Amino acid sequence: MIAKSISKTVSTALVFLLLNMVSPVLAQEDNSTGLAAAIDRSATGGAQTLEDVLARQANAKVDSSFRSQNDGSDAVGAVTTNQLGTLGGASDPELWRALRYGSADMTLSTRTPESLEIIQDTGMAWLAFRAGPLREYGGSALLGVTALLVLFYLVRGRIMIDSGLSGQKITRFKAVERFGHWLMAGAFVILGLTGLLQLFGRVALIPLLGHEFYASYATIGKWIHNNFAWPFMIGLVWITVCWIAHNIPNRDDLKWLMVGGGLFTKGVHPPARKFNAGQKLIFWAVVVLGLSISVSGLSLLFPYKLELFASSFAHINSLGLPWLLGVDPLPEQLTHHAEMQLAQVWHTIIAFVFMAIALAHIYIGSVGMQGAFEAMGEGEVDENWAKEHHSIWYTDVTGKPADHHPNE
Amino acid sequence: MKTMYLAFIAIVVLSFAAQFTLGQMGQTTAAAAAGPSVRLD
Repeated sequence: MIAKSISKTVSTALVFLLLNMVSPVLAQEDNSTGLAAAIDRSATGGAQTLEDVLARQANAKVDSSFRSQNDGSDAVGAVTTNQLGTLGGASDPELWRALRYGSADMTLSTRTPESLEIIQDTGMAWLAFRAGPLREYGGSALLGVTALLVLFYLVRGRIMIDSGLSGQKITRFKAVERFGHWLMAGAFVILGLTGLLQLFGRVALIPLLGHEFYASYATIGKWIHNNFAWPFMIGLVWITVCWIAHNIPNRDDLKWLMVGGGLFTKGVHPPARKFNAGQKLIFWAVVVLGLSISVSGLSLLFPYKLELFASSFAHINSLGLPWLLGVDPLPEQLTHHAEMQLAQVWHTIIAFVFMAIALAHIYIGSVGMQGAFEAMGEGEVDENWAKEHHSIWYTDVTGKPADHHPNE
Repeated sequence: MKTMYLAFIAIVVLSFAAQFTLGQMGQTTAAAAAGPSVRLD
């Protein structure tokens, strides 16, 4: 009798334990597949409750129609005359308007002007432009220039020294000139690559190499981009000082341009001084674009310290340019964040133009023309190269006639 | 070509010098972006 009683008690206990073990599992399965039980939202005036939050955390499907179908009517939500109405409390539009337009009286631990901009609505437009047209048009421009250069090479081939190598060398650039050139050019190449990888990293590197690699790279790339900017700017000033006097336009440049510099026709070598018209165009492009990219880069290096666009826009408006073009005047009041966004966009557009020009310069200075790289690499060029491409300069330096400018 | 390589070395040296100098001037991101009351250093 006693044994039977004990056996019954143990069986009951086992069944009870088993049910207790299974019930949480069942409950969890129910949560993951079924709808959470109907929730009383009267306490929140029809808004979200703690139960909603907990149900989501338990992976339960929460019926969100209480929000999506809440049109503010008394039939759906709480009456708006209550303290907790349909909107979940006073909406306080004056406060949000004041936050958006920077007139709210706020105190923050970071006492910088830009930190008071709690809401700025240009961010999404900037992000969309950066992720869309900036990448698409910029990338297309670089690919287009590369394709043109390949086509030019296939059609024209390498521009050779027509009279062959003489074996006699003449000093083309002094060490001080070459140092300035390579200081700027070396920094520029690295800045261009790191800049491109910052812009295209999310779409080009992360799918290939993963987030962890890109996170590490982005940190290093940003450091390089920020700090290589200084040798670039020093090199820019350096070469400007060295070469500005040689790059003043003159009548010979017109002759050079009239025949396309002889680049498209074999045997045509228009006269040129130390720099021909093509090189002068490159020089002035580098100076102007380099200055612009440096100033916008400094604006980004020292955020909110060097804001350029509102004042520039005001100047452009005062000149009447928008009126001439038939467009609205440019905004003269910009938030601190908008200034940074415009600086980033401008910096990148200028960089793309700069890189496209640099690609053409690198091509003609290396594979595109025999003897060209030696000028900047070794500092010396073959005399026949000098006679064909810079005949006036050759005569000035050597005192000998170049006798090789058939188009003169 | 020596001049070219020398310029490349100068790029690296100038970059580290710029980083060091700006750091000494308090122009690091941490120093520039945080107010004194929330700075951890």
